[in-house]
Amino acid sequence: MTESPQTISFRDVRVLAAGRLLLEVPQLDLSEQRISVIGPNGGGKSTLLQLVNGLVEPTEGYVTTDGLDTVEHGRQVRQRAGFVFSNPAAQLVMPTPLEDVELSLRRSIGHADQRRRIAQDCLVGLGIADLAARSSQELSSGQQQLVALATVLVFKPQILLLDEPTTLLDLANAARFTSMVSRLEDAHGICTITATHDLELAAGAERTLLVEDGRIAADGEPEQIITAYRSRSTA
Amino acid sequence: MRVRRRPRRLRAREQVLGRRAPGSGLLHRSPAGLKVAALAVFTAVILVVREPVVSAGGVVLVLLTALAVQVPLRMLLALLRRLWLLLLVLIVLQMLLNDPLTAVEVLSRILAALLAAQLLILTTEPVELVGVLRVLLTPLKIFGVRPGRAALAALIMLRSIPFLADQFHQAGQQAAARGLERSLRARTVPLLLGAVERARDTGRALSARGIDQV
Repeated sequence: MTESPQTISFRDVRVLAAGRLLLEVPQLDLSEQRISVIGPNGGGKSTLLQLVNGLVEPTEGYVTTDGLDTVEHGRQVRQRAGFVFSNPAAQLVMPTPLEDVELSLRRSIGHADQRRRIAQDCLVGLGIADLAARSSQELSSGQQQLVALATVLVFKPQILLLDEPTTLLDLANAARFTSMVSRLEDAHGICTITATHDLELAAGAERTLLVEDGRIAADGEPEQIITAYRSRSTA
Repeated sequence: MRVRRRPRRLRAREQVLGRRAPGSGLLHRSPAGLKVAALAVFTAVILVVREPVVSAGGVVLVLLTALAVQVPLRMLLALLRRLWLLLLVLIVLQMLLNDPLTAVEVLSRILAALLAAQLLILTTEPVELVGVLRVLLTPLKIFGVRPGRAALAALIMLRSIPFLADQFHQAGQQAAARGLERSLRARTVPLLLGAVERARDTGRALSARGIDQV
């Protein structure tokens, strides 16, 4: 089997917490550029996403991202696969957005001036340079989420894992976030895996996974999977 | 006709740190390390000498300094609005157990130290203070302390204060909405759960970014 560079594969994966099975994925290979993950709360969507960058380690089995095992090479995997969470405020730790983006670079870039320049460029690239010196606490959730995206993008990841990134945002901010992500997909060829309850957003993907009761209940064309999910949920 | 009651004022957001006095006076521009050192010397003198004249002089000195570097006294004294009850209890206790002169001395000593610290906070970016902390912790490296880690923890702690204040307020409102104003459990459990959830989210976001120190 030839593997394309951005392949994520799951082999005999089981995640257990206190004896309870959270997620079981016997075999899964992901190589599409836009993948969406839908399903009920507590079904295992977040666990699936966090397995990809090693934030959750499989109790049994293996997950590899770009050919790297997520347990053995956790740090490298996390450099390649950026993660954006649904709670914007909890992801920012520095007083201002610019400093937060710089913080992401601290390990990789020694010079403070250079860090500042790259961080500034990153904010400019996302069209949020005006937020650079504002107080992170006082930004709106939508702005905070864009900054959270910047803190991750500055690594230049090939994969973006988005865990309900727009759930806490209003319509305009959610649209802004989504359009920014799709611009990144087009411009830099970044692959995205988005877990969401927004079925319209999920429908924009090339492939959709329905995760329910700790397993992948359905996998395929977005339209088909979403229809199946709708009929299950209302039945 | 019923008298229209004045609506209860909306609560201002609690901000312990991160609130800076506007302007760019001499104190704003001085290096944080120097200010921390000056504060340490000032406080040590006040605490060691224990003379009412020195302590009271200290209070006056802090107030004059604030005026000189254009920090609004209103912002400096706002600290007392939160602490007046504590200070009052202290005075009453001192009056009962000691004499009025001691009470004045104790009060002025505390005020001088508190106001000087507040002046430092009002004129210094929290990040700079954390930077000073990191430098101070550097000698502890030989005991295995990682200054960058301690500094990150301090930074996260500072950021979580306003969050916790918001959560506390929200838990109170949620309890009130259910008619449980007097229930300690209804007011505290959501606060605790919220704090734990926030801590978990922050930790996850940091490890996803590979950050374990500043």
